[in-house]
Amino acid sequence: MLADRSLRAERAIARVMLIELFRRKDLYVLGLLVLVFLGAAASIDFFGVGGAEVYLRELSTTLTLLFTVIIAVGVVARQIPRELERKTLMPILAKPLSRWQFVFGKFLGAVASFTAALAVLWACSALVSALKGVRLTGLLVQGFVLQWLGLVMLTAFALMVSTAVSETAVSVTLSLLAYFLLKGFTSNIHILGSGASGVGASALALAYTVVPHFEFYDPTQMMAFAPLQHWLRPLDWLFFAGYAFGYAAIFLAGAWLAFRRRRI
Amino acid sequence: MRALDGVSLELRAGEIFGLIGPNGAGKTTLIKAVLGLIEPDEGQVRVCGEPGGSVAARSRLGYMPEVAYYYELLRAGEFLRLCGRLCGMRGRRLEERINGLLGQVGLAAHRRMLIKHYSKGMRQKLGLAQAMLHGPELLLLDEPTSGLDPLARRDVRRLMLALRAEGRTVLFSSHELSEVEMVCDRVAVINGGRVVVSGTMEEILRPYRSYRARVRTAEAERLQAACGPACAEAVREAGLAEAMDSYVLVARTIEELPRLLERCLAAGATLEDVDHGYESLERLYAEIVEGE
Repeated sequence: MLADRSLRAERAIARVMLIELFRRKDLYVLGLLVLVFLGAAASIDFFGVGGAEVYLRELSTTLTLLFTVIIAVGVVARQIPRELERKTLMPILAKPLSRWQFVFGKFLGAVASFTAALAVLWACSALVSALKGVRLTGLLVQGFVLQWLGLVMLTAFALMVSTAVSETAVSVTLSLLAYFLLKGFTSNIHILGSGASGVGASALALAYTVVPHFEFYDPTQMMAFAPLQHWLRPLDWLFFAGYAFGYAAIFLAGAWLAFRRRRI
Repeated sequence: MRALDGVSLELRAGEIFGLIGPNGAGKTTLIKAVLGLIEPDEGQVRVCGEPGGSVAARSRLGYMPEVAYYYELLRAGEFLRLCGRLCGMRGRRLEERINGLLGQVGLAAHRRMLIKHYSKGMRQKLGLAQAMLHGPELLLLDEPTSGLDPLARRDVRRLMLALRAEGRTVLFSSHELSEVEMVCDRVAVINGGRVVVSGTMEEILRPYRSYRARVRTAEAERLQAACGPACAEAVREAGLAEAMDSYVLVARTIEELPRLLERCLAAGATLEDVDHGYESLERLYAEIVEGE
């Protein structure tokens, strides 16, 4: 599927995506989110909460996760439907470019954009923590990487959804809805499974195995409650990275299959 | 619903091929099938020997869409750079080509402007530039002169002729029949998804060809009588178009014209002009489209 190992065409598509994001002033949203973030983090002292460290860590991680999920899905789920709506696809797909290259280019652009957003928000988190005298260096890096891996998986998922629908709003809504539903389902499956037996239990076990576990990549609990010097084992990282990239590959293949035969 | 039905066309290297037909006739669908943007249910497309729609085929063709929708928030140079990179171009070669093309289509002065601020004509020019960027052997131009002013239209025609002179093939769809007549070597009229007629301009317009002579006389009745029964039909068909004391004689064949002229001159008329010409493509087009 990859015709050019240097990914020149894919990088060109990703670059244009970033230029458009910048010029569309979507990054202003990120700036606004940063202000909300800083305000929320700073308000802890304002409310006079004792033992603010845990709250600060939980709040900042939750907000970072929420904002980056919205940004990542908002960026990637709009790409293909909007190109279809605006008919900008025709001259691009008339070039010697495979549909896979186009899909992968969009994916790369989305990864670059959410990485930038994630870096800004985590930098804010580190800044606020440092100002409050909380040292989080090791955890912060791990939280960043874990969340980044989850967003890689989510971006590929949203891209797959976007190739199957024609309207931007539907694509964004469906992707966000699916993300929160799946995350809620897999996080609480033990509750559902406690009373199940027979076929029901088997179906739940199958669902648990097949459905992507976005909750693996939610570092909120780790950030809030793990000791500052806590480090995940290399085997854990191998699992998390393999799982995220594996599912991302499946979703990208799904996106390509849906987009491959799409009439433009 | 069949958008295309049994269409069979073969383009020759170095020709300008005109595709004409009413809205919804299937012209754009045909172009999309060549590009591989839609897959035909049956039949096949080959571009320069490559399977239609393949990356190899698309590397040998350039396409300009009917409606010029491009990334609005890019500048012309940035958009062409994207197109160039998608075609495997890069570095100085790409930059020189972009500069040359922007100058050629008259957009050099506007290269820093965002595409969203471009007029329709400017977008058409940008569309042409991106289609020609990688020097393709085949250009598919869907309504390339739509929205252009007369001078810009002339420039596009000149550009197409220059492309042909370089040995490139141009498939050009248009509603502007006069333009098709001016530049095309061969034409296909498409209607209802089918090719109704195709061939060289000479071949398809031969039934509509006529030979004309303009004569002047003050004695109209004598002229009418002189034409005689042998030429009466030709005169009646074409009409003895009267304007003041000037008359246009129209013969359907070249053999008829000297006979007709001889009689008229003998009747005291003086010859002013001889011309051979076609009834316009418009008449053929109207007959085909209205007759279907």
